[in-house]
Amino acid sequence: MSFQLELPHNVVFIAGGILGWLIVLILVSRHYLKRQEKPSFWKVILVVLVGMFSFTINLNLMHVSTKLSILPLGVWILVGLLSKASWQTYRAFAWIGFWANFIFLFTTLMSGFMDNWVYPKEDASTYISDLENAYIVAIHPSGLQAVLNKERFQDQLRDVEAVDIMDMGLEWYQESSMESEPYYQKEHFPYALLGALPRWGSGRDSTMYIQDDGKGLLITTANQSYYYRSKEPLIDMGVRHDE
Amino acid sequence: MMNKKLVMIPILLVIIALIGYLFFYGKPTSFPNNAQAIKAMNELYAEANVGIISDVIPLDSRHVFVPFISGDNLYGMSFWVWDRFQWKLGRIDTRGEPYIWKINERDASTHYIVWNMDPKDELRELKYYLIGERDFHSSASLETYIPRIQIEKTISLQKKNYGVLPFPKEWAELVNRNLRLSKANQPPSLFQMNTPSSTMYVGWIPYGELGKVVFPENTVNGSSFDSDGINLDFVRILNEVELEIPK
Repeated sequence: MSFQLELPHNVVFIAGGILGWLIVLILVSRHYLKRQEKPSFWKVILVVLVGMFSFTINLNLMHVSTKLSILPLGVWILVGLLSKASWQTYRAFAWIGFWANFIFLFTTLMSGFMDNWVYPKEDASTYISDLENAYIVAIHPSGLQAVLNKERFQDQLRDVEAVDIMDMGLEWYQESSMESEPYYQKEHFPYALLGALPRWGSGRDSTMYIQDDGKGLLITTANQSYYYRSKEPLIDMGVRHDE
Repeated sequence: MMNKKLVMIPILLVIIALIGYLFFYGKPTSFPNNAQAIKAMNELYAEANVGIISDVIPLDSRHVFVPFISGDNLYGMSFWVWDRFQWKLGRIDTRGEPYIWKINERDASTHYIVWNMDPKDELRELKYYLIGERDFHSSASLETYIPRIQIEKTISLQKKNYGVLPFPKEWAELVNRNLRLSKANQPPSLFQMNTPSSTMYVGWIPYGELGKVVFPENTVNGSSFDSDGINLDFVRILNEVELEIPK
């Protein structure tokens, strides 16, 4: 299926989608204007839309999830439904509908590249942009009472260093689960940064955690974790309310 | 032209009437008094044999939680929803073990834990836990680590043996973020109707005299009658060894 009801939350992909539809509209209009005998334009639009219907496979091309159309199901349906004469009239439009899938494939790939350029996936500031309602909360009993100093955090965020998480996740996991380890039943990341918003239009959903020494920031998205280290603690820990 | 206008006028009138109707009659009226509520409950589910209403606790303007005591001294709960014209009884339980009432499944800030503990179980306090399992996976070039979440919320039963706990702000946001991320992992499909599933859950531990864990036999035993889609989620009793206790 080629239709997606759910709108993307990312402005780059929305722009790419609009561009794709514009290209299709231009192609259809140009072909329509070239015609001597003109069928009704609404019927043409309908034929193009049905022509888009196709059997697809999901492909992950360079980290962009796309759909590759293989079988022109919509075109076949039209062959079956239309009389011979009207098939001759609409044939070209039905095929424009099918090839439109490849125009969308192209615009999606383009958007994928553009997206990473506009909203870099490796930048902490992509995920943490608006701190107005941000706060820190201990999510594990090994965390202390902690407070967020928003201005200081924002400053330090510019200087954090990205660290390759390679194999560290497994270590963190094992150290907390094995009784022989000093981290047994403790959590390396006992704080969450909540209320922070990603950059406008990026749609980059994530959950952000702070390390027990206050100097590590872990940003976990749907399929990847990014890890950053700061020279100074990002939050104030060990503050008690009753003092 | 004339004809078109003639058609438009009645259509407009109908729309205005409809909006007016929804505006005036869609607003909840005051909740039925205790006698009326008891009557409604016993009519819907005679087995409940409701005797006394302990309290009427509104969650929002359209959802009300009513804990009660039955004629046979059972501690139960009822769930009421404003349904356009009237307060409708959605569900009755003759037991009071905790449930999560999810007004809107997709938004954890509308989730409420409700309970009505049987005093015969002699509980002193309850501890609710929001739990998210520690997780790690890696593939070719991608690696993910998800810390364990274990947040505790203690409820004293000294004054009241029943209650409502709206999800604390941080619980709601953690669950909502978790929902969005697990949704992003599902392949996009034409039918987004399948309910979102979170990998996080809520558990509870009942404590009796001197902080000892007790099994609340009377609170967990009973029957229930569901008449109208109240969206409830079970709250599992946790074992203390399932919790992480840092030394």
